[in-house]
Amino acid sequence: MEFKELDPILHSQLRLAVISLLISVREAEFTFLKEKTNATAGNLSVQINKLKDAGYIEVTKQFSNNYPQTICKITKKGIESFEAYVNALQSYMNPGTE
Amino acid sequence: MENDQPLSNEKSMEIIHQMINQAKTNITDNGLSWLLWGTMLFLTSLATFCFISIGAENIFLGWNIFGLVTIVLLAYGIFKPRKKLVKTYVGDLMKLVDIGFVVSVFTVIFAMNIAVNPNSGFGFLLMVFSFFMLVKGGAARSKVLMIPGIIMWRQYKTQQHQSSSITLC
Repeated sequence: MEFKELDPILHSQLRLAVISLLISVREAEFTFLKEKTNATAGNLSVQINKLKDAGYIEVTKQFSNNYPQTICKITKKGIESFEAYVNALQSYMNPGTE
Repeated sequence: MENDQPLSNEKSMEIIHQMINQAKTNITDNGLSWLLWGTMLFLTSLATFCFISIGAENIFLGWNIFGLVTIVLLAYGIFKPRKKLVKTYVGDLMKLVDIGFVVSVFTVIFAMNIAVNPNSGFGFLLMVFSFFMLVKGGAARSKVLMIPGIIMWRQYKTQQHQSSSITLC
């Protein structure tokens, strides 16, 4: 039986958490992701940049009421990669069903 | 949450479930607007009862004030600066439900002031309110909203039996 390879970009605790959050919402602010993942701002920022460089998320930086705001949104490529990752995981966990 | 810990398949699945549930539970309502709305409705209904009891000429004065206060509160709700950390698809849908509700209510109120029999119009208001409460209650998983919504539908039916049909000019 051949197992699908797990996407190394997503197979990381924090990046997977961020993508899982973004798959459920239209867009989310950096502080929301920080609060939900309990990650440090620095670590989260690095992982968000990795996801952005891979084309999995879009990051928009703007000002709202004179405060800087970073908004993250999952891309079509991100959705497809997440679905492929979940399918690959399922094939590992339930090898008989694939 | 750290990033460099070894990640097992089970742990990956757990993270996915946990994060999706975290995003889901973000759809909450602090209930303040419902309390305000309920209080306003109660006071207006009480005022209407008093106007009827004393035989006042304009028994709907309370509802006119209610409408004006609602417009002011809506304007405040639209223009007040607020920081929204997350935008969800359900949130977008609920915004459309809110707009539909406000437009429907004001259309019925306008019609009641122009041509529609107030008794029939009030029945329609009950119907729109109950629909709104059912949808919002369902989204917030709040039986406190859904059950009164269903009761109001029952009231609408009763209202329709009692009142004459709508007469449009």
